[in-house]
Amino acid sequence: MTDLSRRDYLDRLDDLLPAKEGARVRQDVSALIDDRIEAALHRDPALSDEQAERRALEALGPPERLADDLVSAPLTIPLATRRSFVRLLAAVFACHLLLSIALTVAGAQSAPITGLLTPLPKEPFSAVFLGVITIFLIDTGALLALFVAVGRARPDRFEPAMPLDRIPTRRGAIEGLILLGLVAVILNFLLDAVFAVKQGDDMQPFLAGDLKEVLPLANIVLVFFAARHVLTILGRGAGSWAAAAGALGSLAGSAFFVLAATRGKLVSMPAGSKLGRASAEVLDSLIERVFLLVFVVAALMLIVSFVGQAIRFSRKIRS
Amino acid sequence: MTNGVDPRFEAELRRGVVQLVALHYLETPRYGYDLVRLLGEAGFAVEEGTLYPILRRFEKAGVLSSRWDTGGKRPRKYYELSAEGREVKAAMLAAWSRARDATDGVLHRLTQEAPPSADVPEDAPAEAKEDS
Repeated sequence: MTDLSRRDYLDRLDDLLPAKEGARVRQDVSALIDDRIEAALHRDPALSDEQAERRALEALGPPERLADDLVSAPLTIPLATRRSFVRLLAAVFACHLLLSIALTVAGAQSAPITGLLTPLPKEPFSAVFLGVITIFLIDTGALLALFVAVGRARPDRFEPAMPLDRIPTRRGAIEGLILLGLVAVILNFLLDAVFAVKQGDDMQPFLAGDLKEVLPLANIVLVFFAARHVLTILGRGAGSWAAAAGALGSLAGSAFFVLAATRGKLVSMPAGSKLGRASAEVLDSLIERVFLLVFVVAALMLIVSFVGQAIRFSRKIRS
Repeated sequence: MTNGVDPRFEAELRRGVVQLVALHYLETPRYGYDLVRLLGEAGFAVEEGTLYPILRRFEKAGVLSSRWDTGGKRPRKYYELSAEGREVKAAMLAAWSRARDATDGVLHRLTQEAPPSADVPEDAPAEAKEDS
């Protein structure tokens, strides 16, 4: 059904079609309308011109559909492309947002990449909200440009970085659990022994107090991942609870690394008889940068993992 | 669904056939509405919105030739099968025949292989009738 007049219909059709097609199609369709009107009036003389015209336009269908049918290759977005786009957008947006949050928490005053990567405003709430929306729109546009440029031929090539259906084996889960146990022991009991440098006869810890304050929070992350491994060992690794534990663990891990990376001081090399103050500061700076890099990369990997796990979890819930 | 049949089934079934029938009618020059009317009378009711894109596509592919007749009270565009169009029509006809024969063959075999009806035939022995 269309409520357009004949002229509006033809104008709309002309506007939708490629320029080289428009004029010709307009002429053809106009003749079709005339014929249909004439036939309608001949069959039913009681019809008004407007009614006959309306019937003629209805026989043509909406101009949008006619234009689609007239273009030999209407634009279609295959399901595989749509799926890749949505998943990649979720991962890119999560990473972008995470980096912006990290910059905000770290108190950055300027943008490392102007217009692309900036700290979020802290208040009012509407500004924070708009900041998040802006990040989303930037990522959507950038990804769209990427897909148009290189993704048309093989959209699935973007996806291998986020395997959603990879479920750890029971053996892998046992190994993972042992690894988590070791990390927990180091984190809670051996921190000063492992992260220490030799000064004379003694081992001196070098992690800064700022960082040590937040390290106990890593236990929460370990618990989530341990729960996932336990569920896998119990044969329920493909279930929704395991996916939920994995997603929460990844999210918590990502938040933890952001928190750790934004501490005021990460490393404090103990100056002593063998290590002068200046040398200690150089080492501080060097190790701190390594730590920062590791924390940021870990946070990004975990947030991508979170997106994958969250999609898997939502699938499980739906099924 | 209409009578248990998905409307898309009939629409998809007719889509290709309408093209073939339209080409057949266009062995002689006809204008758009004339063709709509003829197809309707033949049981292939189509609207201009469906037929025109088909005609345009055939015209662009060289299957149909067209000319404007300006001798009447208003200009009319007449379509006609071109020499190339006759070859296309013959190929479409052959494809249609193959599809029809294959479908008939399958349906015929299925009818032959169908399990015997539960109804007892008239000439069955009396015991069988009692058993049933």
